[in-house]
Amino acid sequence: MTLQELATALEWDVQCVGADLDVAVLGGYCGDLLSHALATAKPGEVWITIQHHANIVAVAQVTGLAGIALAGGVRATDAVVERAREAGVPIFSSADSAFILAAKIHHALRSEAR
Amino acid sequence: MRFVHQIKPRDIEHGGIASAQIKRELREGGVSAHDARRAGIVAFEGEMNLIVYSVRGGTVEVDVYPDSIEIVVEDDGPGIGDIDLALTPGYSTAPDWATELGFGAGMGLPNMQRNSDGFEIHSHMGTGTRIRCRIERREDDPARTGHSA
Repeated sequence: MTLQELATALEWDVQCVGADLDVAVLGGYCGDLLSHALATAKPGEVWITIQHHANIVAVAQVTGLAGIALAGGVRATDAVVERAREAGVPIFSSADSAFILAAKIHHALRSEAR
Repeated sequence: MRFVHQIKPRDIEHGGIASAQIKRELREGGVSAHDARRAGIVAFEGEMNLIVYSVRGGTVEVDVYPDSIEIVVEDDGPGIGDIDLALTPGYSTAPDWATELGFGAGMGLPNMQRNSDGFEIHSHMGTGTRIRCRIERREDDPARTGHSA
């Protein structure tokens, strides 16, 4: 399942226009501690977080994440979106809580795998 | 190849930009995705330590050799009082403003160590800290990673 397909299925608001959404999503990681994300998240995963400052873009770049899904209606500022656009890191915003968002992503990826 | 990045203290707004650039430069220089990712994580943690803790900032230096990548993170203070404690996962002295942003998990130095094949840290209070990380280079294994991130 691509990031675009996942974003459409889960009705995410695409905050970072211009990023490549035609990448395969290999899983998800949920958490708000940056070093824990660096240590645990795997390349190709979607990062579910409520952190929405500029440093999350670098974490996603360094870790090789497919994109960032901001939970609980959190939205990145224009400055963060601009940095993400320059870096080619997709950022989405969802009204769902991190818990619900993780469940939906898990369900979507499992459904496709069947 | 050699890259040197100057990092300013408390410049949280630009935190991670140098590390992302280092990863990109390594990839463009023919370093495997696996190695560039490890180097990027080491550089990020070092860069953020300079931003959060150092008095006057410091440098992140990257040297690429045929068999390895060497990253040296250096500042001139304040220094680490108890290195063994600082290397303990979960231990952190991060200020509140940093923990509110998701830093201060106590995993910075352990992440640097875990992503290095050689790790040395020298620090003295009042003098500063020098961390040297060596990553042994290896080619990507498509069967293992399945992608080139």
